[in-house]
Amino acid sequence: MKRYTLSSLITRLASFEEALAQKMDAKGYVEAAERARRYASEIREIRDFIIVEMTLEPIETLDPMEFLDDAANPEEVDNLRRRVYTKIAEDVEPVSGELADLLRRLSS
Amino acid sequence: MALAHEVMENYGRLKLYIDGEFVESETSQYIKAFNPAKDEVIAEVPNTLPEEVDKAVEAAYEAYLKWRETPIPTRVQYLFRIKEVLERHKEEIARIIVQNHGKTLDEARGEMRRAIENVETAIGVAYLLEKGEYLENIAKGIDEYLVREPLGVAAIISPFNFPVMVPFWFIPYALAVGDTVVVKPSEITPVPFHWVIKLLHEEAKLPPGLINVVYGLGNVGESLISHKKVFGVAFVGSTPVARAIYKRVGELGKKAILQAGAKNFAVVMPDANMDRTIPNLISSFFGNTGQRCLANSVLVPVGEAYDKVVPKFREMASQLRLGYGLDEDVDMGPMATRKGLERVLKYIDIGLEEGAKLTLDGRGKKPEKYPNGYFIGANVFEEVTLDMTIAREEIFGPVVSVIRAETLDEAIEMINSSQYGNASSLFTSSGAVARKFRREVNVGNLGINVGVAAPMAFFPFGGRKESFFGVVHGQVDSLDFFTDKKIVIERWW
Repeated sequence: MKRYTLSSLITRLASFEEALAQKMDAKGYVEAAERARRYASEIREIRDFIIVEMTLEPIETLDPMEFLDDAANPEEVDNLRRRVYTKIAEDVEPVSGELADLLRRLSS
Repeated sequence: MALAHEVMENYGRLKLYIDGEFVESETSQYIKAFNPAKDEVIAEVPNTLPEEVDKAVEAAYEAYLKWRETPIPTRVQYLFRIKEVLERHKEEIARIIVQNHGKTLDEARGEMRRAIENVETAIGVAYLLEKGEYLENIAKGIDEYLVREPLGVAAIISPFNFPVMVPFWFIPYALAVGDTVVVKPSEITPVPFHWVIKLLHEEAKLPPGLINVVYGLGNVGESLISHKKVFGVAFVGSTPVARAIYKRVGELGKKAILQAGAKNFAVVMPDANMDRTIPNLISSFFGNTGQRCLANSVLVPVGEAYDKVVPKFREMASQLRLGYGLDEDVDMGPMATRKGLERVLKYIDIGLEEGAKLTLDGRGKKPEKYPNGYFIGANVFEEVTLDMTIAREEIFGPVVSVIRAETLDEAIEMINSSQYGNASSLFTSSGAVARKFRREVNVGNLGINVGVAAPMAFFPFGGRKESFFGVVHGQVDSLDFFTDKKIVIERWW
């Protein structure tokens, strides 16, 4: 478990998606790589829709980067998202319901 | 995590902005603006001369004469341009806020969102409110109607703690209804607003004179307020200054919105969801390093809530990571000024002298990388009584006073005995308790299971007792400040 601010969690998740995109690119899974890039962008955009001022409490949750090696192909990437994002969504829910909803959507 | 980069290391001598042009002040007195994380000078602002204030107001007045004739749809298009510029550059402006104020990036991003939200709200209400009211046939053949008219030039004097958001509590509404403004940003944190003006100048291409900027100390504010072509002042800052301005505008017969100081209480009932409440309290007490008028500063656990909330709250507060806010992992930045830090230290000494027990001592805590910054860790006082100075006066820093209450009534009485009436929060699982609290607590902004009761732009920013002077409040309510209503009774033979 790692301690985040909302901003640092958003940045971490976006970096995670970008790392997935690079991995998928390297293995020739172009579509999966594009999807991960789109997800990174959607995660960053969440900053535009949240009421940050009321929700600055610390968040303790998983570091997605620790699980990067678990995903070698698109199917494994989907499984990884399901596993990791489900837990992160649960932990971030009290602080940002918007981010929690997005993570659930990206992992469904 | 790596630091987000500073937009510039030093912004030099800031110029006045008058009639759409940047003008170097002829004053010999410049005031230094700092990066509080590093104790480094990042800009200097002029203590504007009275004749320069006069030029700014005259330019605003000339612009007003044209602007009020500009059709509302056109005015709204300019507001859209302002929104676009703020959206495009929000991240860069947020970084400058961090650099000059010391708050964290999360907090600065929140501030930008709130500034933009006010532009959006002004756009939204511009048409609806400007339509006025009409009643046909109040007597046979006679109609009566109301039109809102702009008033001219408004002065906006903004505080150091929200250097972009607070000016935008007022500017969009003023422009929407046909007024123009002269803004005096805080001399402590002038850089973010300067940058906003620079961007608006380069990209929004507003008609000259709509927004004018002067800098300086109280004497500049006084020149501005007393100028005969300024119809009123919107101010956010301390209670003593707000009271003095209120007296002055009364003498001058002008309008005022004066949002002032605070001492906010957070009440925690035994039935509150503690897992959710405690992190929220942390954000409420220590966000912006306690330097915001909505920060709670007195924690009131009721009955057995004390043991459920205080030890865990203290533990979480002790874990806050101090640092330069451009690092996203930082939970709490420095105080905005050395003077502010000294004030907080003085209050801690007073608390100790008066017999309160300092169970979490943040004095002397500094991040290794920033030994010169104005840092202080979180501080928690227990065994505080309501008559102690730290329980009554606004400290404006990361210092929490814990006062135990035996009943909800006792907690409400504590809040209502305060000279301030800005905000208060209640944490509970009971709707009945929340309803009683809402009805009986005499404050302007209330959070139920919300630690920072910050009204959105489309609601007024409340405040009572010595936390507010005036009639209408900031944000959307300020439309009533920026206009006057003309009533027409009309008959045609």
